[in-house]
Amino acid sequence: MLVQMRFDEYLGGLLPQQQAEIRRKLTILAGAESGDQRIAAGIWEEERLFGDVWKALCCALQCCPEAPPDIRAAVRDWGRTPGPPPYALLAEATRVCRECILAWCRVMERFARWMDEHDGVYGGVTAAEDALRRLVAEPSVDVQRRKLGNMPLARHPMWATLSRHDGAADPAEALPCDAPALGACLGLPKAWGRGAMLVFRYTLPNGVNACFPTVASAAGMARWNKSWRAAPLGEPHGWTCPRPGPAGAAVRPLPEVVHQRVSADSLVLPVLRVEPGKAVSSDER
Amino acid sequence: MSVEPEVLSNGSLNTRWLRTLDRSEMRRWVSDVIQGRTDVPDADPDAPHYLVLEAYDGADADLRDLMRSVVRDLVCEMADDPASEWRKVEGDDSPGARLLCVAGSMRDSDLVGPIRGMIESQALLRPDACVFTDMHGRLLQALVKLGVREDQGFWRAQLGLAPNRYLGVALRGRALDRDANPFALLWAAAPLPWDDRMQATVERFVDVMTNERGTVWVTQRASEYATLMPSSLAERLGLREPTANSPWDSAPARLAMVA
Repeated sequence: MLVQMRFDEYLGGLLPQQQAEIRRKLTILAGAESGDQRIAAGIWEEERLFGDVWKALCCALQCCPEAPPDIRAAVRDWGRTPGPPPYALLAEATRVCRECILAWCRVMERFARWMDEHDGVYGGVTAAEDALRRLVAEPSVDVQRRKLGNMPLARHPMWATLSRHDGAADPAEALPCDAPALGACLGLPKAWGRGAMLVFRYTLPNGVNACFPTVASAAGMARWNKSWRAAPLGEPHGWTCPRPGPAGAAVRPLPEVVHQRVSADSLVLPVLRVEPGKAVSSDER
Repeated sequence: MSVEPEVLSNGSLNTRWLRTLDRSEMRRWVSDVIQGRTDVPDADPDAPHYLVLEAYDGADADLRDLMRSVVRDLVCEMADDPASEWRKVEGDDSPGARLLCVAGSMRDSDLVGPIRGMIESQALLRPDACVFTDMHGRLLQALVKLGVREDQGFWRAQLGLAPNRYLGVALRGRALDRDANPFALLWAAAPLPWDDRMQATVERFVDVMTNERGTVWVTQRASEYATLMPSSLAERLGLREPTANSPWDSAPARLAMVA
């Protein structure tokens, strides 16, 4: 049976020299750059992972050399360990219901590249950008879903927000209508808000569960997710870790979950386009 | 040894820093980014190679030349060395697939030879590939982006390898020849196991070509084959009334027709 425990509880069961080696490497990581410090601190603070997951982390740390890049790579590979399910998604389940509508954001320009790479039908990013502009202007989610087909929206586990965990409410109602403020609330890199962003609204298909974000999910991203924080025990879901937003913007934490990637088949509301300074949507907001 | 990039206060890459790199440093940086080893906050976690493409799009001619030549080296290494790390696939991660996306987008005509060679040898064809690891599919996409016109036989052969994976790129590739009819590929191959995914691909292709070449170009070509298309597709493309039946709608009839 899987038992949740803190890292220091698991570590206490190892031999003293093993404990010393692992602590030493995490101390080295904590003394490196700021993103590494957050991950190292997160490992000690995390309360939602299981013994087997910590065991894998200890093995990875024991096998790696003591240089910060090697320790960083070991922790990152641990977060990406292939599933099913990957450790990024092996945590206590949230109380988010199946009907709950989730929202996930991506930079519009980059989603056009993503479309271009999907099956080669566009033949270049310019044609994909044109197609994406027409798609976002399309008011029907059915048409949008059909045009995107079964295109996966992401490769890694997706970090999504929601407005209520116990019913089907449009998450966009709680989101800022300005791209920099939206990025700030979600804790996305500041540069992501400089252009238009897309908000995808969907429900989770059977077999895909909404999980609490953990230090393993944060570590498993292509780069550290520096805007991650552990949700206090007892919460129905996680919370975003906002960064300072543009002057005058109301920036606040939003509900957050992590889940295995989904495809465009799961969309239930039209894709929203959020511009810097304004929101352009294909439906009434 | 990695190259530590300079990052601006908003988390994006300082592209002026790229101009300070010599060839070997640029090669290391490009390799690191494509393999997902970057700490630039602006990088897309799902597609770290976009950082290279965005830097390339904003670069001056000299920097573009340098970046292109570095990517060319990496693709040649992938083509020449069967044990190259660029050919490795781990789970749903394939840095080689991302490298080929970058190579195609840079439109370096010197890459036609190595790319054509890898396609012909089918060295990177994997039956279990997904969209993130399908290096053979990325080679085909790169060929199309390089503007290489191939005949119907070439695309028919590629389509036969994995019809629902390569239909989009095959249609697009065939359309590079403005006088050709890409819709002829729909049944020119061995019997296509028609499914919703393929239908969605054809609809996307029609949408893109209508935007690029106009309704007349598309309708003329599609209507030549309207009676042979699955009726749901022909109806959606406005080529047939909803009640008509097509040989494609019945599997035995379809097989007989193709045979």
